[in-house]
Amino acid sequence: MRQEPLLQAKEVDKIYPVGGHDFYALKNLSFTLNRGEFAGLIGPSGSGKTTLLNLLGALDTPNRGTIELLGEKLSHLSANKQALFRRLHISFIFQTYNLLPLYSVFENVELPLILLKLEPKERKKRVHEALEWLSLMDKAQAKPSQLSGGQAQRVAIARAMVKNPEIILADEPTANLDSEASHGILKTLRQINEEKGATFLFSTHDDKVIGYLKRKITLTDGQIVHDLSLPEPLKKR
Amino acid sequence: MIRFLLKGLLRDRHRSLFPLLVISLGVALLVLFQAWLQGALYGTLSNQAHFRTGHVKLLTRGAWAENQSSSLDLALSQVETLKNELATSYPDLNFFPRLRFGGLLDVPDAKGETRSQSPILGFGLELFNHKQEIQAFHLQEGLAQGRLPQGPGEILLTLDLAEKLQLTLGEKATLISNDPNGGMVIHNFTLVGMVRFGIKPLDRASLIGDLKDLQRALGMRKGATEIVGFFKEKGLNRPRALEIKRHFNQNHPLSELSPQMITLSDQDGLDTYLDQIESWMSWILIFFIGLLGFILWNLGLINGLRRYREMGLRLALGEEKKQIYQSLLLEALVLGLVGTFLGTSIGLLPAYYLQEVGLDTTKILTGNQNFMIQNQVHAKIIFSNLWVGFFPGLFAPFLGTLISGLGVFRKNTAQILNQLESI
Ligand SMILES: Nc1ncnc2c1ncn2[C@@H]1O[C@H](COP(=O)(O)OP(=O)(O)OP(=O)(O)O)[C@@H](O)[C@H]1O
Ligand SMILES: [Mg+2]
Repeated sequence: MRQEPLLQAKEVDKIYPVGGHDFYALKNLSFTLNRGEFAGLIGPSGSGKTTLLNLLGALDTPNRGTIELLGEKLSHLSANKQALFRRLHISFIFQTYNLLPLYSVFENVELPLILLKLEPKERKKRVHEALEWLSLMDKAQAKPSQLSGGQAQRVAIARAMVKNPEIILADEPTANLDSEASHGILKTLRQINEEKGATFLFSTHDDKVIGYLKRKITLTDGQIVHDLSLPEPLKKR
Repeated sequence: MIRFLLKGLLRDRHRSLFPLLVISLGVALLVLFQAWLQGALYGTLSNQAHFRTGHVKLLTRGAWAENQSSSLDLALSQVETLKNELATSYPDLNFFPRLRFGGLLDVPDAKGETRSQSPILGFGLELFNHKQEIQAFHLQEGLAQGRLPQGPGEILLTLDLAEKLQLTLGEKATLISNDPNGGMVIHNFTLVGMVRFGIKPLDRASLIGDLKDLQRALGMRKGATEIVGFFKEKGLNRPRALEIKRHFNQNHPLSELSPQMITLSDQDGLDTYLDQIESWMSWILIFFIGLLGFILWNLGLINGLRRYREMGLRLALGEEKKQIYQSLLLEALVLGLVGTFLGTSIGLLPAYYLQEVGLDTTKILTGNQNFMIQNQVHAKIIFSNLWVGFFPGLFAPFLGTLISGLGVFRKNTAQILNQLESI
């Protein structure tokens, strides 16, 4: 596989002022994510996983260091450019799904494409494709309140993949799901990674997720303490 | 995207229906209130002007000094000359001489003995050649029986008075009064019509006849107690009235019987009344803007919280903050416009009813003094009813959103999303 850097963090600090002094949520952190990876940030609660995902997703800016996506330094971009980057290249999957309750499954998945100003016909085609990937065609007109947790997260995944982003950032995507739903979703995500070449970065402390990862980056107190890529043969299972 | 947001707006009653109801209701109340006040307060004022004070009024210094005494020895003389002078100097007004007087009306029986008798309040008006005085006194509308006087010797009485005297149409009655020199006046009149003003102080005991006719009867050929002036267009113009008063009074001598100009505001405490109306109007407007603003503000804040998920998600999906903010404002604008439009229409309906039918106030208002308050108070729909609602209806939600929406702007995106995790 060609090693092509997609996302790079260089000497990143993220500081929160807590009770009058600076708290380093991330400290001098550097790492590179290549195109096509299926990687996860693992580590105990409070170790900085979410903080790092937010920085990588251009939702927040570091106090020191740089984040590069596709060779562009995100922190050097204006807020509007950052928004544009998110719109075009980055998708999020959240622990709490964050579906819009007023909109149908179809409309929820369609939203990223509306923001990209695609034609309705093109949108419909792509949404259907994504829904098929997630076996949600029969739920297209359902409202989020009518879905199970597993189904809701599938909708969120469909919404994340529908615009074919460069990278999908998933913050504890299975934390609210039972074992069966989790495995189902993880299999689908791996499939999307392998067949569509989408790059994934997870944040998790769920063993089920960890079992599916091809690369495990362990964080403790805002620093990377392990970075383990599994050898090629083990990746397929 | 606008279509997408519109769908959400329509589906979320907390965002569309409730604010719309609040806006419509508030605006409707404001419009109704305004029309009602306009009708009730300015209606009273307009009656006061028509029946009593004019927009400006000319009378002798003596009469004014004695609190508008209608004793005829303090009446104006050379009224025609004065009237012509006024008409030339102030062509933006119409002037009408009036003769107000007191007296007794006596109804004789067949033998010439008194059958019934009552004190009266007399009005000599230019009835024959001027439609305006008939209109000013609402005589045509108020005519309950008979017709208006058409020749000398014919009078109108109020219905109440005629009933009290048991006088029927065509019967004669004798006016007993004094001439300017204190001599006794006895004159016979024929009752040709009965009127009802719907205003208590007038309905009790008024007698209305032609000015010339009554001048002759009372022995004061060219005299009148007053000359009232009305602006030809658009009603009372306070600054202009004041200007005319100053101008006229500067050019006339100061003796007891020389004419003096006063304005509506000078009489019956109407100055304070006018100021009050104006300040009430502005307070009511301020109150409604405040109230609606407060309610919508809170609705907006709650909406803001309820919609954090949507805002956070849209930010994460790469929408610009500016766009999100704009869409919030647009939403407030649309709601405000639709709500104001609805509210104005809703408010105009009862206002129209109150304008056409009115509200009986005889039971509410007891013991009123000089004020010409009609028994049936009507609302009056005015042009500003159409736009007054936009202040609270449009600006309040817009401003509320403008400020509460700043939250989305100031917070950083990660923070908003973090909060989502805990919802
Ligand atoms: N806005 C903030 N202000 C202050 N401290 C913060 C803020 N956000 C995060 N932190 C702190 O930074 C540290 C890292 O937080 P982060 O959410 O990245 O942890 P995490 O690894 O995602 O934990 P979890 O597994 O519980 O989600 C924590 O100690 C947290 O308390
Ligand atoms: Mg976290």
